[in-house]
Amino acid sequence: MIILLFAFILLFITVLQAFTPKFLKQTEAFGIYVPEQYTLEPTIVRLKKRYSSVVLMIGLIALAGYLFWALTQNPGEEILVLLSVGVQFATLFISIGYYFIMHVRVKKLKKEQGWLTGKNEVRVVDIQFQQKLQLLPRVMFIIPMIVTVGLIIYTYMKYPEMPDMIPTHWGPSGQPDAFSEKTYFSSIATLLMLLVLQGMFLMMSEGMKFSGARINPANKKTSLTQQLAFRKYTSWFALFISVSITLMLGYFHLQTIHPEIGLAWIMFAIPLTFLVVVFVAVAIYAVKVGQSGSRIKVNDSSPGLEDKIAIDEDRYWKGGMFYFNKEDPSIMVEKRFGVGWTLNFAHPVSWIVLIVPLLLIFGITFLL
Amino acid sequence: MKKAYFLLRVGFFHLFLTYVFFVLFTIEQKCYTNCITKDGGETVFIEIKANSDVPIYIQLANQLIEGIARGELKPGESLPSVRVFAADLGMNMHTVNKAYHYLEQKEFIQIVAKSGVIIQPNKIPKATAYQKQQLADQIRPILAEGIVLKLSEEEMVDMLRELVRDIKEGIQ
Repeated sequence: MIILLFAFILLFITVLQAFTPKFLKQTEAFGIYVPEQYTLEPTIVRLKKRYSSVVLMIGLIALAGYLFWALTQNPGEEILVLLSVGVQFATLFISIGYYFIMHVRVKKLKKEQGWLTGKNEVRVVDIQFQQKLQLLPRVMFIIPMIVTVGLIIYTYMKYPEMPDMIPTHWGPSGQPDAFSEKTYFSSIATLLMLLVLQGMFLMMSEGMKFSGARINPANKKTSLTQQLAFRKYTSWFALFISVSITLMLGYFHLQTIHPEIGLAWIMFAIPLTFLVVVFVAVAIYAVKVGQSGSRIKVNDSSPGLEDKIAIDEDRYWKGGMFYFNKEDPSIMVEKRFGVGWTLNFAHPVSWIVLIVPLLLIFGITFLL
Repeated sequence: MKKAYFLLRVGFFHLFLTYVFFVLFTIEQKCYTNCITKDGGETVFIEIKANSDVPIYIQLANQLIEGIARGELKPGESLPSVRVFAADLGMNMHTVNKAYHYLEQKEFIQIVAKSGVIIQPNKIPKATAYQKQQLADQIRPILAEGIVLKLSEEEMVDMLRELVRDIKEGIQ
């Protein structure tokens, strides 16, 4: 069962990685800005196709190898989990490595063919962008946090009745596999982690309010609509994940206080449901919305303008993956390769946003 | 028995919630793309050229002035905060600040501490003799350049008319 679960995760990661170019804006190929008129350049189309097929093939080979090994060798659970995660990471790293090769090729092609020479580089801004933006209100993200705080209070009320060993980690089958002695801290450690995660989703939604929009000058209205939709659905997605995690961890925690609700099949079903539900959400987000809303259809009758191109920002994107722009006050920016968001690393706040939750999570695990 | 029933409810609550989320998403997405494409006509787009000799803060101010001239930016309408505007431009906040102060000096906008930047809510009066003189001073060297480049008076007047029309119709 666990083997199947990991195989499923591996397959999902592979497919998502392989088809990434399909979920992206046409004007960005392997982290390089491609002006409107070159998006259908045969070389680029070919490179995208090759990337998809190579990554898919490597992933499937890894999957087959993994399944063969796991089913024939009958490894112990610990080794199985370790290797499964190892295979996932290896597949990810290989696809990123291949991405870099493609990145360098497109970069070279761009230089050779002089895609930017003689074009008007223009930045387009919609003045009412903020007014049009329909993010979910902050309260929606705070409610799950209030639930968590409520659970902490409830835990302390029930503290004397709790078992002497508190589960702090659950295995893939939903059974606790790590315990800590009961203290005022360890009894709420799970909830503190939950609070950190919820805080991250809250910050994600807030960060979008100060994230600059990049509107394609060749297709202003379409690109504006897509951008607005992308941000809106990102906040939906963030809330959805936040609520899901709250339900899962909240239930696990309640089960520690009230062991009678922890039926084995439910403990088994919850993480599985969670996983499936999250994967479905990710798939919908990628396929239906796409990066920067690129997969949302817009009925825009105005003709595309070919003589204007966006300002080339390649110099701020190290390797097409990491954004460093001192001038830009945005903290969160849309990824170039991949669906989702990344940070402006030239901003100290980005590092704080990145490191503080990590420190908190490590801190909590360390103190246990 | 009661407990088992309760468990079932908790266990399936998540699935139910998920289902609601996706139904909402589908309905919403359909409406949203329809609505926004229908009434997206009044959007005020600002365009900044990267390889222009005109400083960016002046380009920014000029674009906003054109928006006011066309009536797209109505009196009292709010403009984005310096931070948000700079993020959208991907440029320094200082640049936006400079443009806003330039426009404030001309009394085309008001910078209200804490509540933000708005287009001059009071009706902007007709140019005074002094303002008219200032405009003339700015146009003068350009006309002189035109004369040197052998443009006739009619040609320059035509050019002016065309430009006024372009501004009103929003042609870049």
